[in-house]
Amino acid sequence: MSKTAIEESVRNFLINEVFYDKALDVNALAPSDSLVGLLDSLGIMRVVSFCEETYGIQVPDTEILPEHFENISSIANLIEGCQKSS
Amino acid sequence: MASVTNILPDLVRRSAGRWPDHPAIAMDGRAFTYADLERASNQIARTLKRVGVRKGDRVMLWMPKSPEAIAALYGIMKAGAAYVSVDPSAPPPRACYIARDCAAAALITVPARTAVLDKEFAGDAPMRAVLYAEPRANGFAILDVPAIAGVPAIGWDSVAAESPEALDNIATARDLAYILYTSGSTGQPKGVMISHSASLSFVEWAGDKFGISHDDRLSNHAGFHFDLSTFDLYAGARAGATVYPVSSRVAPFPAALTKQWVEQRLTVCYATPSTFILLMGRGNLAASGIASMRVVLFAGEVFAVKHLRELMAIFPQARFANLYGPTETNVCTWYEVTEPPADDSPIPIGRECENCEGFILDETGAQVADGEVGELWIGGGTLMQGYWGRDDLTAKRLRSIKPANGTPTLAYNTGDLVRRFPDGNLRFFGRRDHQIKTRGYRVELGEIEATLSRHAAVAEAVLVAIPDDQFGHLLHAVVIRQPDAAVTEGQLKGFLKESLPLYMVPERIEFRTELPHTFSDKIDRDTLLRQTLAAASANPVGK
Repeated sequence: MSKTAIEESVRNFLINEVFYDKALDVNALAPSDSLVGLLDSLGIMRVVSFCEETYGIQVPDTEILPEHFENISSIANLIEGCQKSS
Repeated sequence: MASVTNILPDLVRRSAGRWPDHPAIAMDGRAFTYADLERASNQIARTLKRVGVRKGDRVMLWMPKSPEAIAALYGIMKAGAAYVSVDPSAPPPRACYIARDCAAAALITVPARTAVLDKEFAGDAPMRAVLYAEPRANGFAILDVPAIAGVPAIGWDSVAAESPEALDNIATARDLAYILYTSGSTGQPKGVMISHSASLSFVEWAGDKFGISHDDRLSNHAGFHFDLSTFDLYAGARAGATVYPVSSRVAPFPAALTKQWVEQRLTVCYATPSTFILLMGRGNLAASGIASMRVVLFAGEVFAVKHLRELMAIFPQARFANLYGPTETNVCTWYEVTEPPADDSPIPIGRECENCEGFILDETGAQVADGEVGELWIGGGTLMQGYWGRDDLTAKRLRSIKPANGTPTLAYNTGDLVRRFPDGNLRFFGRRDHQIKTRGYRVELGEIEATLSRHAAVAEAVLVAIPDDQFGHLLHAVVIRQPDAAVTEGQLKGFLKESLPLYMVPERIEFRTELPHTFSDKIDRDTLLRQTLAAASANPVGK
């Protein structure tokens, strides 16, 4: 799966299941847009569960760090990193 | 140098006199010494006075945590006003509602909120000025702006140009120090008014009880809109200790927070059980080895004993205490956990603090017999003055009661059902109403139901709180749609998120065509809870 496809799937999850805002414009949440302050601890855990279930990976607790959840692109990098190490 | 503590800013002024160069606030690689904090808060107070803030006014703070935000809290109080701190992540309409409800004379925020303020207040702002408490944004100085939301905005450069000299105290001990907004059952949050003397009564008790000293390093996890923060800020300032606020960038990340705590060599930590459980579950707190930790305090919800035992094993050298008290009373009872509990029954909420008095009354207001369950009423020095602009509600919850063989006392009805055990400790037995705790936050289910019901497609909405070891409760909404309406779960969650904080948006919204009713034709919440629990155990969320 390409990184662009991963980003699109993370973006859809965030919009539909975390931000609950289906009216968001397609360009409103670009891969590089900051997510800082938009996710609380429960939101982060939901994103982690989504990544693990969708991509069959294990995200180590030590990797659940702010720098991996700065934006959609960094979440996609985290998924790719976990895929390589599994 | 103030020798007598009458108002909260006296705590900083005194510590700045004794330890001017000691760090008061440290976060994100920046630090304010006590001298810095004293000077910056004086400059903010002078700026607020310049724009017309007067004694007794309210000034709202709506911005992420920073050393400047804390200086702003003190500056507001030094100007004689009460601060109204709003959750930095609160939806703009909620922040706007609170600003209007308390008739904020000024708003302290950051430039990043400018567009939102312009949109929300649309030229009809209650405040006389906006003040930017951020030295620089994207590398640029923050200058004055002629009109934000129709009022002048004062940049940090103007604040820093004011004299840093101390002002004479304007407020007195009986004046309001802050107003904390909590969830309201009728659909809008309500403001709890706390005076300097009530806050200090708690802060001085807690500082002495847990021996907070100049050498301590305290975490500050709670937001300034949450009453847990008053211990961190003011017991820390009273002792001349260093406070480490957790930034919103780090707060949701357990491993990052644990790493910070290790680096900070914390000695005192006060947080909700949810926070500790998350740090143990996903932050590897067990391997942190923070040998300096000497006091661990928790409050806001029941701590599941199995998790408490786990935490006590991580910090075997530390004192542990369960602090209890609604926002309206500050902390009013406490229980020191000296040994890991042997069985799984919830630990007590303990005995009254020395400055509080508890009464257990039945529905008629009479004291219950020894060992009986009743509602806990609290009197004493830490009590709120009432609800802002809600005399009706104040009269309902804050009453003069006359204990048997005692003098009449003003007391607050906590709504919590308790029982006093023979050892003198109180134990919590639930509530009669629909107030619950989730992630340490107090939530009136009625506020969410009222908000859902405002949606055109919703005929009826009922909230069910599912008990959860980690988060206290998870929220589940059951909705009956209007005939022919086609609203989806995502649309309703989006609708709620526009006006409620994220922790009040239910994890799930379920659509039904009818609700179970009792024989007296009320909604049968017990049956709904049982049905929801059965469904939730088959398909858990949030784990």
